[in-house]
Amino acid sequence: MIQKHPVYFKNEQFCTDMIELWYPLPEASLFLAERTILPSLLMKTSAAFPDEKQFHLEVLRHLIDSMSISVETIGTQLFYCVSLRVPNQTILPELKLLDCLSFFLDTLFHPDLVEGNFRRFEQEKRRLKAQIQRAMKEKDFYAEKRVLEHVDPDGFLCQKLTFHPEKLEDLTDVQVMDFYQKIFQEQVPFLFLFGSEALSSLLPVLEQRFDFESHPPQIIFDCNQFLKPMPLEMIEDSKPYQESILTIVYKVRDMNEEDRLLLMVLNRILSSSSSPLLMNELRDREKLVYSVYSRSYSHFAFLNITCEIERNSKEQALSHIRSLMEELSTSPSLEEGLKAVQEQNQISLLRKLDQKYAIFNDLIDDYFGVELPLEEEGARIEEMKVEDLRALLGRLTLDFVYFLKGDLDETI
Amino acid sequence: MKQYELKNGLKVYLCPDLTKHSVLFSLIVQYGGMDSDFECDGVSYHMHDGMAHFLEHYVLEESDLGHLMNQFGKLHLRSNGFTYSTHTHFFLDGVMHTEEGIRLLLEGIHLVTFTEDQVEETKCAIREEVRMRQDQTATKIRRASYDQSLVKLSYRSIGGDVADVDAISKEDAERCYQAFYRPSNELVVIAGNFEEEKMLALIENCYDTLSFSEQRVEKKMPEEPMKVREEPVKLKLPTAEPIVNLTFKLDLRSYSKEQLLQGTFYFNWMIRLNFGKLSNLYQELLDHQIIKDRILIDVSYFPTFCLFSVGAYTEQAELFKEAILKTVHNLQFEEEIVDLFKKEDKVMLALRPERLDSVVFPLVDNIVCYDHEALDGVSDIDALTFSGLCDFFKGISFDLVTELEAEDLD
Repeated sequence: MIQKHPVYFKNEQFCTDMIELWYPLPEASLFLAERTILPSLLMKTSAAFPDEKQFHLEVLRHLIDSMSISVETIGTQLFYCVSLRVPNQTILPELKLLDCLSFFLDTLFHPDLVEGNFRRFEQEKRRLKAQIQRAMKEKDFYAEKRVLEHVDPDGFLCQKLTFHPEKLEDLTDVQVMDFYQKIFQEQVPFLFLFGSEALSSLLPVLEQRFDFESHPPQIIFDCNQFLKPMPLEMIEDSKPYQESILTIVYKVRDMNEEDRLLLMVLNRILSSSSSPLLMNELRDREKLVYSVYSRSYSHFAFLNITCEIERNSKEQALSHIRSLMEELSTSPSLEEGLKAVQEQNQISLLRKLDQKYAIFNDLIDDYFGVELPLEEEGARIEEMKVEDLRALLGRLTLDFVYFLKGDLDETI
Repeated sequence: MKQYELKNGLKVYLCPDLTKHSVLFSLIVQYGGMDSDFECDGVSYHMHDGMAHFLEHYVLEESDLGHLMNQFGKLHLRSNGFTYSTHTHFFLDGVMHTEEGIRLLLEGIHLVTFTEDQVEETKCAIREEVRMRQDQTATKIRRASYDQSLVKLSYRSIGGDVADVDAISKEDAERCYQAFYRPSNELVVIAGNFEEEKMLALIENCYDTLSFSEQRVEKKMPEEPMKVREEPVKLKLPTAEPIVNLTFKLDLRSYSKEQLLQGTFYFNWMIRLNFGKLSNLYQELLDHQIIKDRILIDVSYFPTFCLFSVGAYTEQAELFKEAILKTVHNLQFEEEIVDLFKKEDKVMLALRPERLDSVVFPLVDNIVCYDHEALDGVSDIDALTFSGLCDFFKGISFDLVTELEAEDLD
């Protein structure tokens, strides 16, 4: 989709103004280490403020609420979302919006370099390496990694540095600088502004800075990578924890774009507050868990169910989850669950009106056109029939079971 | 904000905001994880850790009106309960069916019968929750530092251990419930889109249908001596790098509640100036590769003292400890930065109305922990001064310290 940039959404209901620059990233399997380290090299110092303390003081002096770079996913397309959030001038008349924007852009486009490369490269590399090693010792993280490695071994979901830490070892400062140039100097971002009237005063500055007219930002989305079911496997690891983690993965055979919403609704029927089927079964009736939840990966055609349990409860929990899923198609719970999700959806639309991020994100979703905005999603869910869900359940296949056995006896 | 006290002693705080679509309703029971000791009609009781947390589960799951959480879900209301060291917080958040939900919550948690079977059933999920939490590194370290620092207090964690949960009896649970789940020990805070008079009438009406037995209840926390167990502790847990943690036991007996409330700001500023990214210490430790990222801080407040922990992942334990000890004995404050903090805090106050929970949760903290029945305002921030900050820490000694090191279990 091409639309005139910057895209300004006027909204004076909240106390903050937000500016987001969305830069498309290359295919997920490429530049993994570069992509991960770069945000921390850009948002802690700058050429003008190479000292971290002085940089943060400058953020405070500008009264900036937050400045950050995150990696966002739309479909299977990755973006850097570079964001600036400031209180609006209604609540803080002394705020100098243009100065904040200048500081923000200066930070992004004039980084802290020495001899043409990032000065803090080695320090950030050490930090990142340590963070990855620490994450591997966290139970939830480790279990999720093992599940994704199995469900999508070389695919999109495993294209994270934590899955390929060796890529960090060989990374050089020159490679990171090349990547920085490629992303931030050679591309024009999608630019979204959300907030008060005052933001409109920034439009001419931004138009001049990015020259959208000659170089409109463009992208062609690759939305789905539907995975195929595999023969059922049981995988087990053990680690020194008290609790164990059980994850059961279901894939959808012959998945298509229309099924995505059905899979998301099935997920809500299983584990939303309006329809907590899994909690009712495993916690309330069977007393096996503290929490159990499902998660749908609609662009990848699978859904998983995860709970933490005492190690000897594995077979019991597995059996109950399998039975629930096998019987769901013929159970009245399916129809009741769909009705609950349909009602919940109408309420979500009202609730969204109090949440600035929900409104802003919805507008961005609408702009990119990959994810349905809440209102349209609601309308489609409203029309959904229980037979559609039954048809999806008929194509849902148990793919594998992962069990991280906690083999530590109580130590505390 | 408007406040009322009903005839039954219940305090009600109304924070209407008609620009919102939702209502956030909170019921606070002033009974928390730390309240192990109390006197009821002249008889002293001591409970294991985890009783307040157990009751939070029990009243939501085993009310005479049914499983409350499931019923809130059917009404499409978000709901949950949280047990803190000082209180238990039940909340509902909704845009429709809120009156029905409020009635259900207020009546549901006060209409509870205790049976052996239900008590045992409630324990099942709690044991899983306790084990999950105990798998977390921060929980293990905090627990071990409490063991070192708390000499007389038996309190170690809000949820207790599995053995504490096992030990909860129907009789004890019922006793604590009757002692603390009563309007004179409760608060209600409501924020968002509602009609004040109608809301107040609804709350009064709900309580009018309930009856409570007469009891004289007083919390009795044992006096904790300003001593620690000095032997260093070594832990084994899953960790990629060794962890070092120093916990300082800070005497706050000479401070009034008002000063302690100001102290929450001063502590925050002190930490940022001396241990955060604005500190010289942080930069030096990074430059010398003693740490690879941030310094880990944990503060636990008790009525007359606090435990202030400073830790890090580091291979160089001795150098880290030396640097921390040097820092706490020579705290640095910069007036220009403190002015910026004040400005930042005022901005945060101005941003609060954006979110109802940013109004309710700080207000509850102020009321429950500091007897301050208002949100912090601009004048409260203005009353904080650079000299006030310096004086606050001049009166605090960092001499009582315990050491802990953790290394990988593998």
